[in-house]
Amino acid sequence: MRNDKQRRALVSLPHACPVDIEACKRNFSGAAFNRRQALMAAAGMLAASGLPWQAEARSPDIVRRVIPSTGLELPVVGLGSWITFNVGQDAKLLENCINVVRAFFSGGGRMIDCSPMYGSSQATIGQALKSLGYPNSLFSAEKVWTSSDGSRQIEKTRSYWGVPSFDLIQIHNLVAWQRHLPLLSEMKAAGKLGYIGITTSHGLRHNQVEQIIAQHDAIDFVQITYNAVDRDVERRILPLAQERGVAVIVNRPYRQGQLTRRLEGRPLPDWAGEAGASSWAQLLLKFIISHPAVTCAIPATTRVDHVRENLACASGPMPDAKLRTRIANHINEL
Amino acid sequence: MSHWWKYPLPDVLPFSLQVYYSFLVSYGQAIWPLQLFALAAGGIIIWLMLRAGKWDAAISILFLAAAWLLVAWLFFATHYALIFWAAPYFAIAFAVQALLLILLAIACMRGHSGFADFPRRKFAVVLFTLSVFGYVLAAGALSHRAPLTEVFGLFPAPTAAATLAAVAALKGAIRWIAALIPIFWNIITAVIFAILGGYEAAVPPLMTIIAILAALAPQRSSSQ
Repeated sequence: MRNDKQRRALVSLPHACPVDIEACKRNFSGAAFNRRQALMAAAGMLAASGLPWQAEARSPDIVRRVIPSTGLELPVVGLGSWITFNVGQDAKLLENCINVVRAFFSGGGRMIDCSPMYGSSQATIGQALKSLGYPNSLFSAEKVWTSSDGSRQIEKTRSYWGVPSFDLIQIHNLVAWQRHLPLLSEMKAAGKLGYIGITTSHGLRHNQVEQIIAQHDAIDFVQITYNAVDRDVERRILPLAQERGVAVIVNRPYRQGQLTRRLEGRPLPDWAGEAGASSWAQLLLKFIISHPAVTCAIPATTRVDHVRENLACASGPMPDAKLRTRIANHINEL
Repeated sequence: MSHWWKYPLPDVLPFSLQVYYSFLVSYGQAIWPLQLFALAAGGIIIWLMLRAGKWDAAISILFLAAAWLLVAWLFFATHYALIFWAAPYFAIAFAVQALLLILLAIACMRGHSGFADFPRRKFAVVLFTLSVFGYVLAAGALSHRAPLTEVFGLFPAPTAAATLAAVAALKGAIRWIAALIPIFWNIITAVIFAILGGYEAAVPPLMTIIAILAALAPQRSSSQ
């Protein structure tokens, strides 16, 4: 189990890792080479080095992506909790959620994402983590979603999870982001938070998301909706995130099950095997996680077999750009 | 929350129909045996509506105000808020309705309103009885859903339906101030069930239409 000190050490990796950032900077002759770009370059070296801090919860086959601002690697498939974990006090449903979380960690998953908007989901995750002994590999991604006292809400959220601090806190749907950004920056500076993010979904407020990413260096993560049907982010946000060294979390990979329901019963194309997919769900998820700008997709589910199927997507062959276009075109034609 | 209205309605509901049913069951179990007292209160209001004495309308309306306050606090603020972020806002709306009902009760005391005569009141009494006991009987008839029994004064749907029936039993234009929030709630309930895929979606609009028709039914003049 990772304690508070160890967790903080992990998230403050840039200060502790043995890579000489300044040396990295010196080795690049470009005029506009900032600290984040240096870290992005260092991340590549770290990824190849197999340092001890990367050893925990590694599943050899799982594709990982680097968080540009620190170099930490994350499995490219995470776990969302919208609707699925909001089970109130139903003991049977709660047990089922715990099994889902157990399967997620057993399969090498790390990032669990939640929000104060998700009803009892935070408490459900807290129960699951407690029953699993707070797995070391957890990467906790939460949100602040209030126009009033953000620190109070974050503390309440933390008590639901039962963790000493969060790896990532995102400003949910940009609600009061001007107020929350300084708060999160303060928390990060004080070592009480690993990363700062902003979120949107359903393709809303992309212009504002772009502006915030472009103008604020504090942003480590952006969470957006992206799938084979909702591809607006490919035009600006994903390239901008790559350019600015911002990690990308993808929500609604299946459009809340709408896409998988729509494709149910239709024959999987022969060429799906080229992408390493054996089901529509896998093909949809492979489309997302194979985009080079995507750090982690967070499908939510109530089923253990679906968690395993999702995690299986993070290994094996990945579609290249040409195949990705073919997937999107095919699904949009159906 | 900011901009939430821009999202498709199905994407602001953070729970499934299964979880909603499960929530109703656990709430019902948590508040037992308050259901018995609530049904008794409903019976008293029916008796007052039939008797229609000088103060009976005001007393009935005050009973209803207490019911809306109870639902605001017990159902929304204490329980529903666990699974739905909008519950505190609903609690405020139900508390406001309680205040409106108190105002209506005062209006009844001052003679600006009161129970209407038959046949309107008779029609309304039937509707009120259905709202209070109909939900219980329906749950009993559908044995597999028996634990989901929604009771007037403790659950929002029968409370809103009963209130509309009580409004229908009154006379005077001022009674309509107590109808707006129940109608609004019935619309919200219908939308929520329609999104979740519950067959109950049709019930609230149906109850609303019948109650409005009842409220517009003719009455004999009070001098007769």
